[in-house]
Amino acid sequence: MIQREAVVGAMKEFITTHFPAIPSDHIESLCAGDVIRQSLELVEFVLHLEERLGVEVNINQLGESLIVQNFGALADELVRLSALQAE
Amino acid sequence: MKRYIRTVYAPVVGVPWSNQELFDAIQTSLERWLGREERKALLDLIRLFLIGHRTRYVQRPDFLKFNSFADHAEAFERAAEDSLRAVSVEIAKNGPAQFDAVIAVSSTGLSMPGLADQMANIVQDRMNRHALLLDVANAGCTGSSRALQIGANLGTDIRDILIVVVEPTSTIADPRSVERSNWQGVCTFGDGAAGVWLSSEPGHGAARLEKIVSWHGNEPDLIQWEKGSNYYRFGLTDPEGFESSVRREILEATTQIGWNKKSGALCGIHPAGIMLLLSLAKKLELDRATLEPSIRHFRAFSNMSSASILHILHELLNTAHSDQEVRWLTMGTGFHVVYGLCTKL
Repeated sequence: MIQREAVVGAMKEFITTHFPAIPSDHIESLCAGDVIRQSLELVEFVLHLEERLGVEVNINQLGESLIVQNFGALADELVRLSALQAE
Repeated sequence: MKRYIRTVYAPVVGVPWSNQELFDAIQTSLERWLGREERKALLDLIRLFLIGHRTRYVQRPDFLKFNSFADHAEAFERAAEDSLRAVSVEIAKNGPAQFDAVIAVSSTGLSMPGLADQMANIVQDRMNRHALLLDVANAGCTGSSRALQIGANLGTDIRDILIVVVEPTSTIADPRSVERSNWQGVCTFGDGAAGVWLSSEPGHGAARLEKIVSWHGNEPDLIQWEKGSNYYRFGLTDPEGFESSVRREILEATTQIGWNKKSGALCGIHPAGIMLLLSLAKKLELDRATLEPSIRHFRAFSNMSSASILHILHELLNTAHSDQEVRWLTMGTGFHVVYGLCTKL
């Protein structure tokens, strides 16, 4: 099971690298869809999380959360899904 | 017997639709019949499928108004004929004096007489009257590669083979469905047509077909046609587990069919979807530059089922230098994977 801090840390790392103009301190309240607007960015974001967290992140399972939720809620969802997978 | 890809025909059929244009059309269509709450949830999902800039070509821009079996079937027949004629225009510019076989591929519809017979009529001045005419149906995104596999194994009396692919994928969209796999299909696919002249003789610009092998996996129900409102439509048995299952199947396939990393070779991967394309490339250790022709194709045309890999091959063979290897990998329903390899002469 993955830790929430690790998920948020991996998200911050991605945003700092790919969107340097966006301050990464408060990403949890940012809507993911307002930051990630291209399909390639979205896929790279998911692949980055997979690499950093050592889990398989399923876009279809996360569904529309990937663009309509904020990063904080998305981190919660990833933790929840990883807990389900671990059961 | 050696076979040579003399040319790949890659006509563009239909009109381009951006992600935004498709989203607007779907939204307008859903407003006619779906309640506010359900519509919002579905549109959020469709926004995800249509994130960013991408286009697809649509042969029947009225496809979201289809309301009967006849609407879908007639749309397929018209689009298929347009596609066959588009390939015939390319053949007129560069084709053999006579084809000894026509293998026609489509996974999006059926017609009688078959597509190979129809094509033989369209290019009748170039047809051997004793030609083998064969339709390959329902083979999904590996259809064109399966046709190449057949062509590569035909006897010596069949010298020049035409493979023609028509995939008007929009004609199977179900505008009255709330199933996510239906909309995943609508958003992922584009309409397309393509062809190959496969010959027993080499010629200018040809590529020698070195290898074409397939692998049949263990997920027969992963991708299938489901029964829609009044026609069949694209379906995934397990939408949430789809990406994982496909990745697992392809990686298993690549270990079985001899795919290995090779520097200097050009490479085409069937653009099933951008997530699959990139994650697969990572697993196969393909760098972004190697993958770029497939990504570029997906951005411009989306997934045109088995017509896509031929458009990508068309580009790769045009850019390959003499003696350079061109490899391709396609995957689709079955679960089926085909690996092809040719060398530009």
